[in-house]
Amino acid sequence: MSNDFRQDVFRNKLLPAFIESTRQAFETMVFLPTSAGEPQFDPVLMPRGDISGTIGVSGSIALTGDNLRGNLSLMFPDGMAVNLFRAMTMMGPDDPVDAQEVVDAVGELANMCAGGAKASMQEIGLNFMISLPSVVSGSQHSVARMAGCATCLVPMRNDQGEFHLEISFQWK
Amino acid sequence: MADTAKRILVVDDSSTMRRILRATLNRVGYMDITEAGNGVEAFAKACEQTFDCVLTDWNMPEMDGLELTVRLRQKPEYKNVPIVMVTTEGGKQDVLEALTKGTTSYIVKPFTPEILKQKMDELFNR
Repeated sequence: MSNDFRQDVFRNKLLPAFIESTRQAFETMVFLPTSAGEPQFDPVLMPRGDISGTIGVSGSIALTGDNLRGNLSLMFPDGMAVNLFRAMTMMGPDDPVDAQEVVDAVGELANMCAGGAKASMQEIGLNFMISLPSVVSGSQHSVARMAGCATCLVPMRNDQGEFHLEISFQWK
Repeated sequence: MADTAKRILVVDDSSTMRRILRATLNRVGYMDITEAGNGVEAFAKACEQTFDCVLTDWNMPEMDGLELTVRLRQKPEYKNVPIVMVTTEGGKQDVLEALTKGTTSYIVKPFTPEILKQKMDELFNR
C-alpha cells in the first residue's frame, strides 16, 4: 500500500467519518448542533484541556490486510464538560454534579464518536476494533501523541464553546 | 401510556448512559428500572428476579453484553424475554452477530429518546 493511498484513506475516509460521528453524537445525545473547524494535519502544538477522553482504535483494512492502529481524543475545557454532562442527562442548571460522572460522560462521548466511525468504515471494508475509553482530567493537561502516527486536530464548536477532536492513525 | 408494571433491567458500565436510559424510560412511562454496571452484576440480578425486558450495552468489563445474552438465553425463564443491545457497535456484521447470539433487537448509540420509545413500543406491541 503506497503512502499516497494511506494518506488518501486517512484524509478522505477516516477523518470525515470521525468528524461526522462526533457531530452526530453531540447533536443526538447532547442536543447540541456542532460544527467542525478547519482540520490541522500533523499539528505541532498540543491543545490544552481540562478533561479528555481517549479511545484506542486498532484493526485492519480488510481489502488489503494491512494493519492499522490509532487513537481518538476529545479534549474539553472543564466548565464545558460539566455543561455537556448536564445536557446529556437532562439535568437542571442548579442540580449538583458529581465530578466522577462527568469523567464517565466524556468517556461515553468518546466511545460513541469512535463507534459511529467504526460502523461507517465497515461499509467500505475498513474494519477496526475500539477499546474501552480512558479519561484524563487535570487543569490544562495535554494528551500525549503516539509516535509515528498521522495526526489531525479538528476544532469543534457548538453553543457551549469549543473543544478539540484529535485523530491519529498508523499503518503497520 | 406504557405498562408501568414492566420490570426493566438496564445494563451499562457507563453511569451516564444508565442515567440517560432510566430518565428516558421514566419519561415514556416505564418506572420499574433496575440498573447493573456489567454483565456479571446483571446476570446475578436476573437470577434473583425475572425481568420483562433487558437493555444491555455490548462492550463492558467483567462480562460483555453478548455473553450476558447467551447466558440469559440458557435460562428457561429468559427464553422469550426481549433483550435489546444498546451499543456503539452499529456495523452490519455486529448487528448480525448479536442477533445470531440471541439478541431480540438493537439500538445504536447515539440514539434519540424517540428511538428508544419506539423500540419499547414495538417490543410490548403498544
